[in-house]
Amino acid sequence: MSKPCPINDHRLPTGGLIDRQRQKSFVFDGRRYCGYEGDTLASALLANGVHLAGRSFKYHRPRGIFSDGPEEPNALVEMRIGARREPNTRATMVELYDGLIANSQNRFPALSFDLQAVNQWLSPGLVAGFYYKTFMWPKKGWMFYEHIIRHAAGLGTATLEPDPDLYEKVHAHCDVLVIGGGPAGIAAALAAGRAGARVMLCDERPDLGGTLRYEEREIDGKPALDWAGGHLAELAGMPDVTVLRRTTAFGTYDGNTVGLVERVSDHLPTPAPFQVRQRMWTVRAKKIVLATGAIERPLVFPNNDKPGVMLASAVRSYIRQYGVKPGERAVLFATNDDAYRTALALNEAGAGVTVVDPRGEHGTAWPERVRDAGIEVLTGHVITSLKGRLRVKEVLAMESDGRGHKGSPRPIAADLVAVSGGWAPTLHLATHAGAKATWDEERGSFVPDMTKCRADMTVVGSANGTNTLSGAIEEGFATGAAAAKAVGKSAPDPISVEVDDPAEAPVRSLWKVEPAQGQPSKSFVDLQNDATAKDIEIANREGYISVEHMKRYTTLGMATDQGKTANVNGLALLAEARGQSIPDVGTTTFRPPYTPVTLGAMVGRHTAKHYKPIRRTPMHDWHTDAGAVFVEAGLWLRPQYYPRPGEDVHAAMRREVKMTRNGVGLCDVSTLGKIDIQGPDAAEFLNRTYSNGFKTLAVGKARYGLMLREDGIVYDDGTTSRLGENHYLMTTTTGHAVEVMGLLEYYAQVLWPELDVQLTSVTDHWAAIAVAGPKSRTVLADAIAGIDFSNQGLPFMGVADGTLDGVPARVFRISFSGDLAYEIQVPADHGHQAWKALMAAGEAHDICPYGMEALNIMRIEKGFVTHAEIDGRTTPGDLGLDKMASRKKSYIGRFLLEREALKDPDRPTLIGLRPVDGKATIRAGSILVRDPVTAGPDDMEGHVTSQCYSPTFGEPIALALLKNGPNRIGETIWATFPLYNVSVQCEITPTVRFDPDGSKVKGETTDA
Amino acid sequence: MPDNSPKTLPGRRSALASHLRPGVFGAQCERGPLVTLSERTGLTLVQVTARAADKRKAGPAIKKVTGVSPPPKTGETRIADDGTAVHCIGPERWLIVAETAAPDAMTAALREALGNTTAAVVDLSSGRAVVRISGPKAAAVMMAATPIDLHPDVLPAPACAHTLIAQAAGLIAVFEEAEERIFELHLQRSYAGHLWEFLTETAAQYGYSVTD
Repeated sequence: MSKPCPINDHRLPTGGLIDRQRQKSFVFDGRRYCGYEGDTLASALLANGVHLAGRSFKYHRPRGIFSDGPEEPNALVEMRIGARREPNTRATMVELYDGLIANSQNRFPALSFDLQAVNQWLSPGLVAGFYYKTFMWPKKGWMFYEHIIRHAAGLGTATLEPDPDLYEKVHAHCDVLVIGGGPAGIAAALAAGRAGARVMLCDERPDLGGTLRYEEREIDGKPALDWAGGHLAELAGMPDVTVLRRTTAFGTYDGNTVGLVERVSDHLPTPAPFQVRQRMWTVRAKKIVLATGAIERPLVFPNNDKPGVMLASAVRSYIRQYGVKPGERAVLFATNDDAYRTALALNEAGAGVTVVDPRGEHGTAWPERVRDAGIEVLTGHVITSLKGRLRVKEVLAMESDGRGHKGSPRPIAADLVAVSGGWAPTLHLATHAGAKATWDEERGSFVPDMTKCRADMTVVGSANGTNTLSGAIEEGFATGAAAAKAVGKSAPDPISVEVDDPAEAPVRSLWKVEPAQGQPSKSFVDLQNDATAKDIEIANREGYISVEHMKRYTTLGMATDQGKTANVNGLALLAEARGQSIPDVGTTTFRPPYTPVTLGAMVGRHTAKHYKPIRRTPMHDWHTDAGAVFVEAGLWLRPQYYPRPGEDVHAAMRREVKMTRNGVGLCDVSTLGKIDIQGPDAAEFLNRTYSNGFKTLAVGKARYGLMLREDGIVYDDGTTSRLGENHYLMTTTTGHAVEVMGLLEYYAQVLWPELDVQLTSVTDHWAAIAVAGPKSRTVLADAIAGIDFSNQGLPFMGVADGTLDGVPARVFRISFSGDLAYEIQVPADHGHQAWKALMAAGEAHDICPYGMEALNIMRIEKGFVTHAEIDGRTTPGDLGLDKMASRKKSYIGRFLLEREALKDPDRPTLIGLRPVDGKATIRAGSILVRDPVTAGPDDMEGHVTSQCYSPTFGEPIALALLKNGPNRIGETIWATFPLYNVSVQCEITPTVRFDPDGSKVKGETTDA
Repeated sequence: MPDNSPKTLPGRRSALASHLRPGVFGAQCERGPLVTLSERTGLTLVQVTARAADKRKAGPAIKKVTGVSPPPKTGETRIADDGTAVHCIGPERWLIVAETAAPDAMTAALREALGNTTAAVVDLSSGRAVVRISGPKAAAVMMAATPIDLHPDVLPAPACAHTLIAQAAGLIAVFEEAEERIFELHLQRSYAGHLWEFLTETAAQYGYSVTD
């Protein structure tokens, strides 16, 4: 930074935790400003005199920076530009970095002049529920109104470009998770850490310390921040303690699980190379200590939303933490003693201050202490209105005794109004787990009721309503020690702290200040949603008396801040309107997330190509080198076809079919599920699992098997081979491999534990290659040693072991193409080698690799079924596999297969189709009807399951399920596809077009 | 176990043959790469499953072949003098990971030693991708890869755990060599490329080296 900081004239000459040696230049709404290392965007704007930060959601009223923390309702900005643009970012939580670009939202054309502020003048019609009352007619009008309303009401807009950043999700486990790094949290982590527990301590801010970062307090005679710093250094030296800064705990979930988001590089212009932007932590903690502090409650009074109105604690924080003077002439409007610290801080910063306190003289030292500093204190007073357009200019204060205002308003010139109505403990993470916030009248605050909390969680410090510093530290330490003890560690030596905690008078609950007579004005309860005190009255009047209904009717407590500064006042006002107490009205339920979480963090690395794992076969690299086009089959990548120069998908797959049918082709079928089954009861196990018999299968033989669900519907099919007396190898379809394995384990462990059978998935251990075509026998006889490939030596459905290129290879004489065909299995590490050896052996015969498309064509030509037909609705009979459903034995699915509806002869049954004109494509999914012109929904007689153009027969063919189909061979039917309004007249054919007598597959007519 | 046969048949190609490139990658760190990744190749992996009734016979048989008694409890690992690891990966189910015997020889020896029991011996040598990860940030990478707790107090080396690894089912074995914890990940072979991409992309932020 060479240029001097242009404007920074609201910065105090000294003080604050900022580094004045390190300037940061930034741009807000197109204008360049400067701040310092350690600033937030909000503090840097205030240092430059910028209070006006946004326009409100509904009325487009000017709004200023209101807080210094996660509760910020107003200062929501669009951070960054281009692909990294992020709307609704709280300026109070954005760390300033050099080159930061932010823009205000929800304004047109500019923040200081917003055309839609006209809504303010229309506002009498825009109260709660105006949607429901106003846009009811004409009925179709909503489509139009909605467009306008969505544009007018709203917050920022997200980028439409892909997110360029990386995110990750990690899992962590600990004994004690401490949420919140203020005095109570540090003490809790220290106690648990000293006891030797595994501790995680997280805080949403860049530095720990919480309120100690801005309260001028002393602990043990030293500045409080030094006390914190010493203990944080001690924690950093403990190997089993993890301290996470910039990390928000956003939700508590079952099993003592807490979600955290760590903003790893949001404080940088862009993440460093390879660095993630955000990291989501799923933390499973044995004990949770909630030290999340409290959020100051604002006051509800006329025009209380003007820029320049700020929470009292935020004012002190800006002065002490950032060395910023947020105003020259301030009024503090407070109902409690704690806020008097703000008067002192303002006074020290050289700002004029007047205190307006609705309480009468109340006997603590605070008013005197403040008056001693030369500050005027108006007790028994309230603020009845604020004046000023884009910033507060004048405060009107009146004497008030709680029943009404007296006298005439006293104007006080002011550009800053600090407000405090007491504190609301941050209990979100406890209530996520079922804890309740209960109203403590004495403290004038909600406190946690943990009796129904499902998490093993303890709340400490001001989140627990403990409002002294010494109390918070002692409570934190004792809780951390107890948590460590509960997980089996020995308790650490107790600590004692010496803190001056001056006595404080009780908070007076002041829920609303009525306007002075004749002053029309709005008193805002929820700044982010533009919900006013009047809206709550209307909701109550119209019958929305449940707190949940009121919330939805007024939108109070919704949107990005979830009412962090609004909820308590809103509940109290509803209670008042109902004439009931706050506990009687109850509270709304907090749900995760506590503050917004980016989708990127939730997704982590599981996006784009890593959305799900990709499985590759052992020959994947060969296919890639051969230029294969891949298709996703479940998680697998499989070659779809191998285009030669100039070929499209159709040309390539037709060529692959022809070359295989006329010569020899090979196909990677490694993805088929393979299950090793061993044990003396393996045969019995298979016999109960498959619908067809398996007890008679001889060693060295394979058999096609059909597996039903318990309800009699076909589930899966495949071949199973008997490798030894008690040893079988089952194959399943690619799609059901994992599920079938799980099902078999269930049968073995739960249904039939008496059977001695052991199951192992060996899918990935074996590479499998189908070699098909009339010349397959010749190629294999050449390539594989140790096997007699003659029709007698290795007959159809035979299995034999041999050697391929020096590697043990198992050969199965099975066919999924209808041709003479074999399947070769070798250990997967040798799959690539085996494939190459077969390609070399077949070179003289013009061997051709074929992909899924050709495979599919050939199985349709042969009438074999796949998942298009085994679709979870078909019985063996529907598929023409009646004979596969044994009547001699019991097996899974047998009894429910006997159901009447499944025996109905009119059930759609598998047949083949060809277009009558020999040309028209029959679309898969077409509906079969007798007359496509007159047919209604009830006239559907079946549907097309699979279709292709058959290069072998030179015409389109299809498989279909048709009512009473096998008895209608030779008739015609229409295949209609209403989506495209096309209908094809088809002839009904047998399912098996290719090699109907099986002579080819049995090898009797080949050239072997 | 005496074995004179060649340990690896010619032509054997590991799951990560086309992914693995030795070198240093990712973020540059003053201390050098903080994660080390390597693939274990040429391994013999054999699984033995015994019925409860045969449990007593399986132990001595496995010991006879591997030189070490199989651990009785799921998650336990024992290591023989020659480095052969025997992991108990389920009730009466062990995975033997050896470098000193060929798959066929190990399978045959186990079958013979198990004699007339009904225990199942299954060769899985080609069925797994095996990756080792070590270095100061290995645990940080593992936190992203798996939901389970790998803290030394919970999983003192040597040990193993069947769990999710980068969204896929797999086995994590933990070893300690020269006071350093080494994680060995076994995934089904077809997931090898996915696992490798996940590990290298996660480790890139710490800088990683790939060794043979």
